[in-house]
Amino acid sequence: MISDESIRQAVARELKVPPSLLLPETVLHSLPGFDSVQLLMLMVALEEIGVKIPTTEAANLRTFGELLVFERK
Amino acid sequence: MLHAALTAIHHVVPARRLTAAELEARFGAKSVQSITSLSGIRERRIVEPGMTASDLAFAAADRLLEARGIPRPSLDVLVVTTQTGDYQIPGTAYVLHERLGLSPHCAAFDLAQGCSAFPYSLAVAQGLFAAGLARRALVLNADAVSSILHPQDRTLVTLHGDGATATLLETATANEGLLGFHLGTDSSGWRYLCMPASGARQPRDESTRREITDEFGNVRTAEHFQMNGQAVFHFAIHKIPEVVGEALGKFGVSLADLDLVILHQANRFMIQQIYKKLGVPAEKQFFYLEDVGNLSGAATPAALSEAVRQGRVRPGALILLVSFGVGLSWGIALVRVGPHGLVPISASTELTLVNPNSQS
Repeated sequence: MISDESIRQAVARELKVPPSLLLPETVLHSLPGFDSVQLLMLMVALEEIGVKIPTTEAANLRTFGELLVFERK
Repeated sequence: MLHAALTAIHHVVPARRLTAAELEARFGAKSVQSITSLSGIRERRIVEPGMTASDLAFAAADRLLEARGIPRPSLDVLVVTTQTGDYQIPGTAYVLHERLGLSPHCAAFDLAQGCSAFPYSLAVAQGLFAAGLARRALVLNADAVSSILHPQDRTLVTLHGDGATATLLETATANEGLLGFHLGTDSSGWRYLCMPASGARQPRDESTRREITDEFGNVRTAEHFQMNGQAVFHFAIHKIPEVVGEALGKFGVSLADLDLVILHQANRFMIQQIYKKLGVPAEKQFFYLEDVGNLSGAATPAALSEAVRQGRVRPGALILLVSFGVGLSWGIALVRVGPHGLVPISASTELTLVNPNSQS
């Protein structure tokens, strides 16, 4: 199963931000340059590494920490 | 039992263009370019004041009927799908029935099915053929969503265009035409595509006109059409490949049997993700949104119409039409083109407003 750190690295890579910025309480919308397009790209990138996000949860994604609670391969 | 075949199709979009330059002036270059890079939509066609979805539908229908020499009294059924009708009461089908000069024996009614409208309207029409109630039907799919968007809702304004299609259905042999349907609903997501103050549940008042800005800077009120983009995107790239798989199994066909797989033209990135998950090869893909935008309920049939115009639909072709959206709903139709093929309608695909009572 992929680790929290792997998810952190994937998110950092996709959003082009330093991994150190990604704390569980980090609000994604507060990250520099974050927009609705990046959110969609991020969802696809996470799925490709095995993170399964339910549609109902995708509707309300807010913090980096919320990305760590979903089912993983 | 009578069986319906799709024998002609035509689409119409407004002549008015909403360009990237106009949107960059409104929203800023960076954000528009970011969305464009994902959506693949460079410009949209939108109605001008005084033009409605039914004007577009009328033009598409009138041009098709004229080009094919179809006697109007020969039509038994008129099905209109729209979410932007001329009136809440009566249905737009009645307005168009009169305007097209159809006969009293021609049944007319509306379906409000959003972006999945095309397969649903074909399925309903096919049912009327099977019931012996129709031998010739006209299906009109029309939406002018630009008219229900807040002008500062960057996410939706940059994606949506307006358009209409006319599809002629006539009796056919059992091995051609509309061969199968797969319809479904995930109603847990109906709130994700919603215009809250648009009916009896939330009457319009001062509070529904209050502007709200979301975390991405999109502005809207309860009186405007709203979308939770990430939820709809997630639904589309997960649920649609799954139900297409179900449909192919139900129809007893494989991707290899299909000549073309036409998806709802929501945005290029979403379509590419679905094609990728399904394993649809490039030669069976089709895109029609770059110059017109997402045409909502008219998007899938307009893509088919454009594929016909571009010579991508050969006689005997087997085509899968996949639409999805409001509800959240999906509709899939399997269509076999007849041996004579679908000949493009030579009329224009643009409509300019001259006089709303004499459009053609």
